[in-house]
Amino acid sequence: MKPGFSIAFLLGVPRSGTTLLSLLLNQHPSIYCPPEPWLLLGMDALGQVPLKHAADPPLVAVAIAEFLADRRVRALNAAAGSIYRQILEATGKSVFVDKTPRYYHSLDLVRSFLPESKVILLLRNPLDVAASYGQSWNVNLPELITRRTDSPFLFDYVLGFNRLIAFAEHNPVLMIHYEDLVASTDAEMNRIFAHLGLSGHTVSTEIAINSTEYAKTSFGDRKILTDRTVHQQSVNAYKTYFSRQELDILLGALGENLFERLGYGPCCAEVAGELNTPVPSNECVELLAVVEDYAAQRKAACEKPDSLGDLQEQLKQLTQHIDGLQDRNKALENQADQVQAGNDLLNEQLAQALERNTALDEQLHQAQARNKQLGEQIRALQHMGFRDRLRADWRYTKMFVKHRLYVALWRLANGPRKPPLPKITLVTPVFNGGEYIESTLRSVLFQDYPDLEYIIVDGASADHTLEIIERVRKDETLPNTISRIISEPDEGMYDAVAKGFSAATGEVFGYLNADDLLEAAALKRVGEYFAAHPKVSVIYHDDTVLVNAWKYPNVRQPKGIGTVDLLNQHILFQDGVFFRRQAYEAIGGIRRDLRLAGDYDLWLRLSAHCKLVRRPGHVSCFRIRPGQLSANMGAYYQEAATARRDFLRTVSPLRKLMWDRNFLIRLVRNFLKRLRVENDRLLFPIDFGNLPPPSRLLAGSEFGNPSSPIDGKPAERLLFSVPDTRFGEPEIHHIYLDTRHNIAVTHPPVGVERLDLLYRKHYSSPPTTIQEPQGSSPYRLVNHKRFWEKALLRLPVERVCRFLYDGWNDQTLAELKLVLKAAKVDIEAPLSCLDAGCFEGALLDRIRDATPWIASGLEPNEHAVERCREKGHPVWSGHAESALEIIPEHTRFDVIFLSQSIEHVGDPVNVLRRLRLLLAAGGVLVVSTPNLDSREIDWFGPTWAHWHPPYHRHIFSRKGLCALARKAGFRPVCFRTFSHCYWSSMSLAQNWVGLGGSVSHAVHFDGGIAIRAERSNFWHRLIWNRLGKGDYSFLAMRDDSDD
Amino acid sequence: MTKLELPVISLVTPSFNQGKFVEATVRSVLEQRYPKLEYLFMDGGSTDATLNRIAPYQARFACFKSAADQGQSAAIAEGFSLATGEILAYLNSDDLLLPGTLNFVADFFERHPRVDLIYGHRCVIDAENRVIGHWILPPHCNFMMRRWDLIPQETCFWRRRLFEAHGNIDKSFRFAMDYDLLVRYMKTGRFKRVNRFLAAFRVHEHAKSSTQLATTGEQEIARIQSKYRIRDFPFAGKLFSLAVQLRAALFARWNECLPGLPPGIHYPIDEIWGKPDSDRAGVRSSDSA
Repeated sequence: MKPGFSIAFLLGVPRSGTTLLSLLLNQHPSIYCPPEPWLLLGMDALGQVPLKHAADPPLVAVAIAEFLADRRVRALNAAAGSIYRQILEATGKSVFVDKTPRYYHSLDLVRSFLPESKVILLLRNPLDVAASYGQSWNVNLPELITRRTDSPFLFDYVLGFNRLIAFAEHNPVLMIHYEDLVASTDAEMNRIFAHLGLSGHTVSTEIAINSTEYAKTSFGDRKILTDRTVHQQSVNAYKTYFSRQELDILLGALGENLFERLGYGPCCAEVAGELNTPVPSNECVELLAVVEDYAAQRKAACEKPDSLGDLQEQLKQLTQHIDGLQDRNKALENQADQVQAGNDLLNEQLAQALERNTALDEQLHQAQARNKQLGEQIRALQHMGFRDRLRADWRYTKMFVKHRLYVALWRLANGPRKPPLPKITLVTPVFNGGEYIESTLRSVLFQDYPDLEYIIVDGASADHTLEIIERVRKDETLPNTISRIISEPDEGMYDAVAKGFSAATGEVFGYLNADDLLEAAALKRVGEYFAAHPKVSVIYHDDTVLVNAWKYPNVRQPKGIGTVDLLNQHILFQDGVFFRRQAYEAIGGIRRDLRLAGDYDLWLRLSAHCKLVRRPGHVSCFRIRPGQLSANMGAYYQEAATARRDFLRTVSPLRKLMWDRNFLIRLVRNFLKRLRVENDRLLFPIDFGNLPPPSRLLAGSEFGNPSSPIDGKPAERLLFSVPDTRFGEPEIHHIYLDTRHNIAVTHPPVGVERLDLLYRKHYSSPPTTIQEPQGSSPYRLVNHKRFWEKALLRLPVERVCRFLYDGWNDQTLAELKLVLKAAKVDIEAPLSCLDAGCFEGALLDRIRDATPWIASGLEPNEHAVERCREKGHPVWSGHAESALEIIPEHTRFDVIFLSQSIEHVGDPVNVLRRLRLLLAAGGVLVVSTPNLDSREIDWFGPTWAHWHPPYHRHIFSRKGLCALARKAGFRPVCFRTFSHCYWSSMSLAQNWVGLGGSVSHAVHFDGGIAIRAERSNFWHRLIWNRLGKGDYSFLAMRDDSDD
Repeated sequence: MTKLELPVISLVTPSFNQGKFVEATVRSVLEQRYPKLEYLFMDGGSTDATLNRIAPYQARFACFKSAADQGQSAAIAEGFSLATGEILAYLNSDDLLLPGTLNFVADFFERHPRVDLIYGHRCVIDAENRVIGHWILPPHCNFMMRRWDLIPQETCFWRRRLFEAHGNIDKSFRFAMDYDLLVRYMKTGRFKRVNRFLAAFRVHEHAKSSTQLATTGEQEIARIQSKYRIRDFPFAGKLFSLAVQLRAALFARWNECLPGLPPGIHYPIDEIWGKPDSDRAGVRSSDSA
């Protein structure tokens, strides 16, 4: 350092009075002491920039450290020196005093200025310093000490004193005590000036601070601004400021030893003495270590700005704290949710309770209102005068009459009330009948009768009969169950039957042998008849026979069979007879000792007791099989003769005489009856000439429920059985008759899939030859023509009629026109016409060629549809049932023609109903279908070409067709029948081969048949068509009223 | 014969909270497949399922309104004032048309140009859509029908000229507006009873005819009779009604049949639309060779 300039340091702990001293020093003309430059602290921390520094802070620190290396202290020294000098030159003074209390942190740098520079250390009693902290800065040092807070004030107190005294002890330092300074200012100042090598100067104790730069700076003691003079008021201020405990802490923080070294030993001892406690010696060491550690940490953190040090720690702690708070928050939220949920539940309960409450309230109100009303009525009745009474009676009478009238009308509309159906007990005796028992059981249990008791009496069968019975019993699909099974050895069939009847609880009895069948709805018909006729005790039915899966109606039972007929060997078929319980009990039951003719004996005795009533229709089916009991007819008649003898022995001679007379009358009557023409044209009785017929398959089952298409009630009469006579399919179908509407029904019906399959199979390659049966075939050469008809058919009219018309032409269009004309349709107009079931469009071709109509078609067969479209006809593909969905809306037809297709439909009523919606205003629906009234049925019977199962599901008569139209909501307008040579020749061909053979539709008939067909067609045209007995019929129906 | 010029039929349905039945009504009208139908649906701001039920058919209405109105008669009157058809009718929201009715009506008016109004027999159904009875009416006679309110409203169809000559429904009636209207029309109009069923009338516990007949109904009928100076004979009205009922009872008992309905009683009315039955075979093609 240049001569003439010198630097001095004024060291001391903050609040030690360094500002006061610096003010005093400044009074010397050569000294410049600015307020607290803090320069060395800054130099010491050179390069330690804050973390947010724009330059990379670690790099700054590292770069400077690297740059300075071991020249650091010297370089900093030189830098500081040059700064001091510069400032000093500006002031024109010679001594620069750097007064910065916290230089105890960079004593190394201070030391580097020794020995050229001078150092003054201003000391003050630590207790006073602490008091001053409290008074001036509001810093509670004792608390900082006990908490060991990481704070610069604690560093001042603990580190400052320790480090400064240690520095003073090892270096040439002038120590000044504050107490001395304020007490003898001049002497102490002179000492200082001397130390600084300056001449003495008298300082004034009046401090004119406002003129100095101290007034402007924020550093230094601000309190001094208010005190204008040097004073001693602050000495020993601690005595009043601190409590005893705080003093104890303050003493302990520095230790007795340090007080000694600072020169305040006596003071310390005095205070300790006052406190009556020894100053702890180890506490200060500990505290010092802690504080040193704090300082070292801070220093390290500053030196390494990249490590966030305690900030990070704090951040971590804060994060943890936040996490903890969040967790608590979450827990609280959960609790809140639970509480909310509970709340909701309670709310709901409350709402329900409130609702209930309102409902109850309402009820209460109603009850109260009703109560009031009743009370008023009672009051009114009690206070009624004679006139009012009469008026009320009159009102009541009127109401009563009105009610009775309505009831009567209701009765009238509904008919008399139906009596309850009686309980029917059916007994089946069985012995080793495993082969047929199952179909018997099923045919009974399948019956739709609400009150059936079915008892099976088994004679201890040795085969699997019982297993089958058990299996059928467990079948849940059947509507009835077997009520009882008795299985024990017996003395023959009639013993078993008697056993069954003795266990019976029913009102009506009947028994069915183990190989016979019940027909559809048999029990219902029997039950209804007995319910409606309480006086009738015994009824019998016509019977059917089942041979090799063919069913035949048996020869008809005559009306009014009585004892006379039975005595003369008339046989009543047992399975069609039902009788009342009291009749059975009155004659003493069935005879058990007979083996074969037990039934004959029973009928004989029943007929003597009451009248036997014949019921039309078939209820049961008798199976003919090899080896059955009734096969041995000789033995049967023998036993019947015994039974007859036994019976005659019990009756009076007078009665016998009566019967003999009746027998003569009956003989005469039977003779007369034979002369009468047989009226029942649909009876095709068993064909004994062709028995047994070829064995056939059964499609579906032997029994079932053929029902009328009009009302769904059972078709009760069997006509005959027939296989497919067109393509020769082996399955057999039965044709039943709905006698209420005269509609023939084919049973079992064939499913849609199977029919589709058959059509597809035979569409492309129909057989072209007539297939003849092997061996016997039923109904072969049936010929029921009257003699005059036969005569007519022998006339060679075909030679004439060839000139008149061509019978082999397709006449459909002509027939349709005829019918439409009769239905008052203007056929010359451009009618829009739909041919439902147009097949390959033959009719559409004709319509296009010969009429102004606009025709379109509907056909389910895709091949046929394609053919039609090729010809250019508008044809929709689909069934007539779904016509509404297929044909676009607002397309409507004046004429809908169902040509030979209604008989193929499962549900003809619904088809007509749906087609009806397609009719235009005033439209006509025309149906053509085979005619059940056809004269050719009378001639050819079951071999008539149009029976045609399974393709023809229903054959309609005129009555049936009209019922169908009405059921569909139409008004039948015009009925016409027609015939065609082709169908007549087909019938002839079929009649020749019988039902066992098959006749294709594509066959070309040879001359003989063709000629006979032409002849019969001629007579049909002339007679039968006009009488409604043509082969097929046309019915036009309208959807309007008749006025 | 195809009539290219079919008349437009305007049908008005007033509806208010008959959600259970309204769909059947609307379907019975739309499934007629009548090409020139003008269907006006006037809803009185129903609060039940009505609007949901008819939502699928809404696009097919010529006019659809759903707002609070002043009752049934006001709704019908508004509908008629909006209607443009040559033939007018209204159908309450619980009654049904029978299949083919509109066709028949169009055809009948075409064939009988002098007739102004037609009505048919009434078919009565219950809430479960079962036919429970009929009204078989005698041929029309002004003398009788003017005195006693027996014309089945749901089967009435009339020409526009009648409507223009004698005006709209009287909004002041709540119950007997049809009787009032028909009495007015009978002054000059030529009426005709057609011998068939045209529509089905539903009797159920919420129907106006069953709830209000004894109260409002009788008052209003009396009011109409005094308004048009109709002289009633004691008991005769009841006897007439009884005769109609008796005829209907015998009609059912004897299984008689008239076009429009199958014979019998107690069958579901839906059946006559011939809904497809899946397990039965469809129509087969003709197999003529």
